[in-house]
Amino acid sequence: MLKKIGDVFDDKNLDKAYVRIKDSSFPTPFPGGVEFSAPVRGVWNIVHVGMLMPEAHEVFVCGGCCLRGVVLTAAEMNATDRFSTVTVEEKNLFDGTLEDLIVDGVTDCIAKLPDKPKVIQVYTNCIHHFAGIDFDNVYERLEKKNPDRKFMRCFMNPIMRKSGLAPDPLMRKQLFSLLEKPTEKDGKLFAVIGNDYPINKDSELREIVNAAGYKYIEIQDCNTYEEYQEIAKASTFLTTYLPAVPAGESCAMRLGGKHIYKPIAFDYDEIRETLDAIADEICAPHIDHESKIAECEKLLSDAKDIIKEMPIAIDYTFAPRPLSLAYLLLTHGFKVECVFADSFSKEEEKAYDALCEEYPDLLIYATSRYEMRYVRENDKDKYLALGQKAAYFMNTDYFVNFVIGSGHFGYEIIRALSVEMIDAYKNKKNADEIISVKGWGCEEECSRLQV
Amino acid sequence: MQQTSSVISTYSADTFGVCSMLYELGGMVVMHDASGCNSTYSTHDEPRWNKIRSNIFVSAVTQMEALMGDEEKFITDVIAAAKDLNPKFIAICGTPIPTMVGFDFEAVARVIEARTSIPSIGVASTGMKSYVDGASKALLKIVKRIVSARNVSRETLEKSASKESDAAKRVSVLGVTPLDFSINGQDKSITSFLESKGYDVLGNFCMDVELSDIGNITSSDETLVVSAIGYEAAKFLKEEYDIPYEIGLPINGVLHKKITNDITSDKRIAILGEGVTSYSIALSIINTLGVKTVPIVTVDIAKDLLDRMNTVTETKHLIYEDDIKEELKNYDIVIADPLFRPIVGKDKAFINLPTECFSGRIYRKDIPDIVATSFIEDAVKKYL
Repeated sequence: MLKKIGDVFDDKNLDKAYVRIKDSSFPTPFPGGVEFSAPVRGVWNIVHVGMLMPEAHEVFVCGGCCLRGVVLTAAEMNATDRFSTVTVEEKNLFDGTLEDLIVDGVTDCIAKLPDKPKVIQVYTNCIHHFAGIDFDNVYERLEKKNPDRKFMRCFMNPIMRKSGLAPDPLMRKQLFSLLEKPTEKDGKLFAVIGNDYPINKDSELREIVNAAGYKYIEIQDCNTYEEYQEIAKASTFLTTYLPAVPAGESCAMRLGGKHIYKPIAFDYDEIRETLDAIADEICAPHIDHESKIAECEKLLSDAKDIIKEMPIAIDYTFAPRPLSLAYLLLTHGFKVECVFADSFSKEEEKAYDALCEEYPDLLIYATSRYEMRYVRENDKDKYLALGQKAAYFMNTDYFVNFVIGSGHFGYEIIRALSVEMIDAYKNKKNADEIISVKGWGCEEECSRLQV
Repeated sequence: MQQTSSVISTYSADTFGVCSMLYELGGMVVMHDASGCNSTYSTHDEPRWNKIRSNIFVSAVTQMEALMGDEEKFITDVIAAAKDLNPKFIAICGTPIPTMVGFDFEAVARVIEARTSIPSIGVASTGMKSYVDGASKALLKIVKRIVSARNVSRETLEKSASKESDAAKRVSVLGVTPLDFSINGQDKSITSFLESKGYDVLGNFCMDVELSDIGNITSSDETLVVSAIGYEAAKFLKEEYDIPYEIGLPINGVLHKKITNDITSDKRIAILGEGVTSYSIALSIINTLGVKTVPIVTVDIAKDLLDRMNTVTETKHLIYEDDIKEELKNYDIVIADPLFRPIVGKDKAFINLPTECFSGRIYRKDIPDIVATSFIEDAVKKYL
């Protein structure tokens, strides 16, 4: 159990920040309110996602408070040469110059760049939506003034996170918006889109695609704008992450081909169904599931033998579907005590029901409720954490540093999980240092794209 | 073109200046923002985040709440948190969207105070000005609020001032936040300097002070404004309580108030950054090394403060990248935050002077204590 810290809380106050899963509501276990920000920064933001685009330069057009975070995101990943800003001042809100400022400001930034990138990602934000600016007109003027550049419409509008397409899926969708309809599709090209990290090479997905004689492509493989355009030729667009689905749907609709959504799963039956469905789609033979499952079972058993009764905490940034992960581990004897999640994906309903039935005492903790400012485990290194937020709240250096799955997929995520749990148990990490790094792995992923 | 930055960073915003100023006072500060401001503030602009717990939150306003003018949701959420956290005061501040929809922070603060009986202030930050503006407003508001609550009149002060003539002069230091002074002990160096001059330091406002210390500000014999953030509060205390103020930051153990040396070098130095710090460094270099040094204030500063500095030494105010870049052509040596480096010609000598307000946490470990050490003088000497 977490202990209260500080003197402003009694247990009654803290009650609103956690709940037994049996007593929780689905998919929103906690009421809203003012929010706390845990100092955990590994999840990529829209700056990081945009940096995956080859030969692109980001220009953010917004007020100082919004610029501050994104400028320093770029600076911290040593990418200031791929990043510019246009500052919206208060006068621009009221004197009718918001649109001109985008056109003139972005054009000015382009003119100052020593190397002219092919793509300019223009990030507008909440104020442009509220002012009702004419985006079509803005981009028409930008293209007219800068005929040699391609403009990607990007958005930093967190106020829209609960209405319409939220910023994260919107960014993933827009990242592929410059793909042009190819004159000819490649019937043997398989694209995975919308992920931060490329799918791990040990994943069965790669095995299946290879077996079918398909070529495999992800944006992380593309070093040039032309290589990026190759993605458009794919006959199959696979998404494995729910916020990437709009990207997949959009690509299939605009470019032709088929979109398949098959998410990361921690349930053997679902993994089997997922991999077989992908194989069927590209006429690949089914893999030997039994041997894969046996391998997972062996590794999980090894991990359990080593980790024994060490309590485990999981958070929602570790991988999509933290409840499914908790169920997998609990059913294999691990002592999972709590899951940190402010809400649940509707994909988790089956796991949620199973946990309520079989493990009703599993605790669900919020991460952003204001009470969480005062919640941190007193006993250092008592827990094994799966995920950066769990590591922070549980105050432990024994943790597995996956961020949104870190590219693991299929049975391979269970194998990787087992191996990494053993490693985390045996070898402490410097959690405070690691979790403070913004966009874990982005700099390495994008380093090839530096000007 | 103004308002564009092709390569340099941007200063911390007014919203974060409010939070930084009030961070240690035991209150609860709520930024009226959709999302992101709390993350930005806690990551880049608040080095105390993991060391000192403070109630800094965002309202998580949604599109519909903003469009429909649902201020009651904001009020209800703030009050719910306040009931659990029992803060000494509540401060609410703004970002661009509340500014666009005309959110009245002062009125809402009054509603919150009426319903909770917790002293509340509204700071109408817009998220579109610099930290100097926000921190300055926050300091002025909290000083006014606390001082007025104590109902201290000038006459009362005059009576209480009948102290022993040989008692140490009491001084309050105004405009101290980690955004300008980091957490490397510079605030304590300011205190040590003043104590070495025989002062009784009532506090550095606002680092390592409590809300109750603000109530004692009116018993100061004088105030020292060490950044532009402290200027408006100093003027208020002068106007309302006749407390005189001095402007300047001690550099290497000396508070330079005027130019005392001739220019003997043919080099020209530009010092970029916050106004009072740049001005104080410039005076220090001129007086100790005889090198022409021009403070270039690259962030908000009150016009009358700038004018006042200009009466002592030439001081420029340039906030846009193009203007700064052009001006820097006139100098041999540039002292600035490393994130200014890309706009400084390669032929110029560049002295890194990192600041939290510009580069956030990136160079934190390299931020020098310029108050107590000869860092500036030593660095400049290498290029003379």
